[in-house]
Amino acid sequence: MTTTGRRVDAVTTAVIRHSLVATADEMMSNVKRAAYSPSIHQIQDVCVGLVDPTGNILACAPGLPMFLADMGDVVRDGIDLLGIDAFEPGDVYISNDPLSIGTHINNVATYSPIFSDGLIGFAVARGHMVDMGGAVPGSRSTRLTEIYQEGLRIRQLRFYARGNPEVGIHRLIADNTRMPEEVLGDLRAQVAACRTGERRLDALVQRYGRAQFEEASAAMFDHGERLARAAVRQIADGTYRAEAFLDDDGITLGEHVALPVVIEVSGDEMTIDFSGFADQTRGSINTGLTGAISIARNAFKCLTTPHEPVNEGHFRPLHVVVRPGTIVSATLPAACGWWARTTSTTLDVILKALSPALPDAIPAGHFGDIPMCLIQGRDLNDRRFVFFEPVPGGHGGRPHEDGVSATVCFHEGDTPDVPVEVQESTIPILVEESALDIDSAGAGLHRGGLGYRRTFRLLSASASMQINVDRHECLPWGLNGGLAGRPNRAFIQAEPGADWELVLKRDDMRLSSDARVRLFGGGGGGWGDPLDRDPSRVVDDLRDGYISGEAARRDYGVVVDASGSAALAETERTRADTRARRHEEGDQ
Amino acid sequence: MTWRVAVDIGGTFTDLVAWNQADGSITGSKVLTVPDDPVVGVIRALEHADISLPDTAAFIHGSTIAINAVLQQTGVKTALLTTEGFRDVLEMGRKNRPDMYNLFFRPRMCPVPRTLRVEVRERLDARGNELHELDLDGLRAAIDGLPDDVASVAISFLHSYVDPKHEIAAAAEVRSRRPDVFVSTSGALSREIGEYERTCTVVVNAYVGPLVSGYLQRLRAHLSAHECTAPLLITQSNGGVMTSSVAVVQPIRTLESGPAAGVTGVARMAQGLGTGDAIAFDMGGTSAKACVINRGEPEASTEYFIGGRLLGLPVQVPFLDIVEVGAGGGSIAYVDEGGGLRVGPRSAGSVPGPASYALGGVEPTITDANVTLGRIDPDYFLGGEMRLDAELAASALTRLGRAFGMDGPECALGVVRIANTIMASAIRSITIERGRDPRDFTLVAYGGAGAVHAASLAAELQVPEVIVPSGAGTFAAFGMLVTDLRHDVARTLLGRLDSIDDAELNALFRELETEAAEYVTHQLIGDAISRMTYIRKLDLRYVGQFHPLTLTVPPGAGVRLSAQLPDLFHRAHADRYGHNAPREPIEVRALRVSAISEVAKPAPGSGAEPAPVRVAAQRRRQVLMDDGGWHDCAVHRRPNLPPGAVVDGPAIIEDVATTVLIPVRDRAQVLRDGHLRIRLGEAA
Repeated sequence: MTTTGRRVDAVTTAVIRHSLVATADEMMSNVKRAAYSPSIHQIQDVCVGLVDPTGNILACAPGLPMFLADMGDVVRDGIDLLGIDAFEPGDVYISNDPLSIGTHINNVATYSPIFSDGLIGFAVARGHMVDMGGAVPGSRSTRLTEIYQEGLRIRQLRFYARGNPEVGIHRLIADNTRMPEEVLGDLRAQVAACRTGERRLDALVQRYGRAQFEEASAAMFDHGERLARAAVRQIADGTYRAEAFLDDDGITLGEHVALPVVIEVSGDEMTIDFSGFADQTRGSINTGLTGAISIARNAFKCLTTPHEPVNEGHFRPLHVVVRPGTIVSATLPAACGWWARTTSTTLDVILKALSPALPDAIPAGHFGDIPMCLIQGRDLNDRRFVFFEPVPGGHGGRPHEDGVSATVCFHEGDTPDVPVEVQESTIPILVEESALDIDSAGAGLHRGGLGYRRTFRLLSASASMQINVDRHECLPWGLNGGLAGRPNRAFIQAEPGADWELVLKRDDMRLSSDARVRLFGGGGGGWGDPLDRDPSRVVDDLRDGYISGEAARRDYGVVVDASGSAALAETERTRADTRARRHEEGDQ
Repeated sequence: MTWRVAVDIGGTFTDLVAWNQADGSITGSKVLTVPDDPVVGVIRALEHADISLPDTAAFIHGSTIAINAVLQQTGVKTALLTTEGFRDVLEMGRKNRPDMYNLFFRPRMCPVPRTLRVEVRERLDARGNELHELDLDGLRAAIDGLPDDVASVAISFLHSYVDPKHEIAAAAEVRSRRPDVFVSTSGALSREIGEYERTCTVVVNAYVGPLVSGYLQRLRAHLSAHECTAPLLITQSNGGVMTSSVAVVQPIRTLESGPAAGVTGVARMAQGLGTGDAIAFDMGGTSAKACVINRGEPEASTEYFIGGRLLGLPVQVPFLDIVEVGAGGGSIAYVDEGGGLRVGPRSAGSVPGPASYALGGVEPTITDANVTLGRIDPDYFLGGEMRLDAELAASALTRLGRAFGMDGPECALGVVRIANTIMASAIRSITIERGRDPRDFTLVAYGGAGAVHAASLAAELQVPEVIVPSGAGTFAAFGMLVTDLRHDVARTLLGRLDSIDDAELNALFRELETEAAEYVTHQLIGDAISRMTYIRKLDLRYVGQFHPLTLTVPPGAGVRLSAQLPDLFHRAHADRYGHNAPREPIEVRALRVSAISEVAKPAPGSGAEPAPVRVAAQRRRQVLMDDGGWHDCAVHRRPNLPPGAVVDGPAIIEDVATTVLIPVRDRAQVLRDGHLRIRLGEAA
């Protein structure tokens, strides 16, 4: 714990740490503002940062938290494949192979070596390209079963040689995507961000000298490690288990996909074991080993150092166990397009497993998925488009307060939606409502956040749509006596007045402009016994229209009198009856 | 009519600066703010400075009433009318989670509860076509159903940035049925796309509207009772002033008036000194703020969150692009759980305050570090009005330093270095990150803590020159004196540049100019208006991009505008991001117009250097400088330094409300108007 003998470093380390974080932020703001695709400039499906010559994260700008293992693995894979001596100043390499570097084919990484008295690190940017070719626009579909169908797979090719573009690989990409301007524009923005990272890191190293820089980054990792270890020590030693499941892999409908985790806490170390995870599936919900590590890191980060800018040191006390060939450690020819299916639920399962050990620190379950509707066609300027945005939902109730409503799942971070006004002025869509979903939150002493509902029509017959919604059967769980929230779901009404048909996973739908699509992001689970919730707060929720009178009575046992206030005596009676009934049921 | 008077109400102090137009002199006063009735503080400041109200030509004013009401959530009971299906937009926001690893992340603030958000049947499409007419019966029922104690009604309908006709009609209904409430429509404040941001804009405006108009009426009444007939001008967040009659309907434009006025003051001063590009750097008790002035014009922000990026509300009215970091005199230094040394953003505030205030604070702050380094004289804090306890400061830093094997002074130097790094990062984010080289700038430092850090910060950023203005402690009020009347308007317009007709574009610009000019002249007496000037700007981007770059249209470019813009845009893109795509088509996203009418103001200072005057130090003391060594420093009192006085570092210059550090090898000189210029590396 003591830093004696490194006394200059306490200050220099802080100075260098701030400078590294500022550099990553600058790279992020550049890539975001210059990007072409909504997936990057709006949804911020991108990560950027700096890693050291062995792939340890020096700094990483917040975008999507699920990229936490990618940056290092991209570089390590390059070093393994090409050798460390392959890199020259001005080079940029490109890679997107999900089975070696995680996520899916859309996420294309560019990275460049940084030389400052020799190789000192790499600048990395990885963002979601709107289309990388393959069988379907957008390069992912519930129908695809092999990665070869999903698009152009690139592993560790040189994109720029000593500062000059490699024309051949540029042409290969342009020729294999449906949207070359957007994809090459986004990649240009990524490369520019890498260049910024190169310049800043070089300046930093020049200023402090290589030895001092290296010592300071080592001290920064050590410091991050100490913070994480201190947090793990707060968790009682033991083995913790929990599980949840996905509805299916999109191909074999009705067959659940199990996501059991085992967590071992010992002293200041934590092991997250995914050995029980389902074998890789025919449907495209797989990803390479990096996926397992990313999910584990995201959970670990939330549990230990949520307020710290990311660096590699934070993850040293974490061990991940996974066998080859699961949905989070998939091998050829696994399709990976909808890999993100597993991530949020897995993170939530890890939290659930630890809830007995951390009763004050764990929320109830959330809606746990990225319910998505992917639309493609021609936009109002007759340009090809692929549009998608993650549907938000309710987060779980917390030990000390209600959950937050209508917010993106754990997989997503600082990912805002696309405003309805922007959608309607660019693509053929009319949104009829965008609202909180009443009665969707799990009841509890602290109820879950409300889910979300959105109704829209497609105004062009040439546009086609893919719906992909999971976590319909595994409800957002309650904790400590709280009730489950309503699950994710989607419906289509073929024409006004017709019945609403439940559609969870379906691709290549073409709809008339009379047809309505309604997507629901589920509600968060409740925390604590709803019968313990202050009746006046239940009445507030009723007045605000967050819950119905029926739910107030059924879930909370609250009876409302004619004036709209809680009838306290009757409420007490109802609650007592319910408790007695529960007791009896418990005895049987 | 002799006086032009500026009064800036801050959290702690109410500052007054007045310019005597007859003899050119400037006077001022500083009194404690009276939070319960700020008008009382204003009256005291006027008495203190001995200003004759009947003899006042203009009364310029900025206050924190509106911003405090938002931050403390003490605005009025506000209702919101929205398009059917969209009443939850305000509560849901953009659905993102900026605090992404925090399992207990919070939602953004939401000033209108769900019961007061009422949906109205009406709908336009994105081109402004009416899909559903405004349902008047439903609207009337909605208005009649609002509780009696609702004091304000905000109206935000989808696509009103294209055509606000439904909002206007709905506002008329509200006014006729509820003449007692404040009414505000989103399209009157912003004609920009994005329903959440526009809704936040109108909601904030409605939420603070009655408070601001009530306050201004009381102030106006007081001024009238004292035979002051001068126009009451209110400072805006965009670096302009507006008439109080506009401020009472668009109070949202006043939210960050104090910081903006300080930046405007820097712009004016830089112009006079001939320094051109400047970085305004304001460091106070809890935070440091910085803004870039580019060719005399402060940078405008493209997105602004009232109350901070994490929990605040994004609004679509113009703000200066002021970055803020939690590093001020009161920011606390501490050891975190991992054994790292941290500085801020937690602040000791004024109670308990820094350890050296001897009010019970035990944690060391940046002020304590400066005392321990010998940089701030504990016996001359606030000109000697407040005494600091150097022992308490030193022991707090010694305790902190123990964790790192450092003694108190070493630890203090570390704390200052870390604070400087944090502030330098913020300044880099608005210079280097935007393709600007800090070496081309002058750093202008004000606020109580600015001048003691300025030269070190300049060295860190490689800025060659620092200016510490005279009256650095009341500089925002001075800025108000030199702020012009201004109104900014914007209009979303989506279309490819190569298919836009120049005549159409010019006509739209003229329309916006007329609109902006009307706001500027609103109820101002004729002779107060000078010639109106206009700035035209365009938001452009490559087709397919989302975030635009804002380009100022070169004056006189009107006739063949669209032919000149592509080159300008490609160049700006390369400057900003380091790359461009000259073969790709460009599209317009928005038009922006500023109408500006100059006010009478003090002449800008002169940059001419007076003949050097050697001065003897009044005292000497030991100061630990950035090079890690203790230096025997000359100590001067600023009021005693004549124009031309040259002070070579290492040295200290003490002013009433601030202390200026002159590092080793730097040279300071007092300019003709009393400003202090520090040139780095130029000591003899």
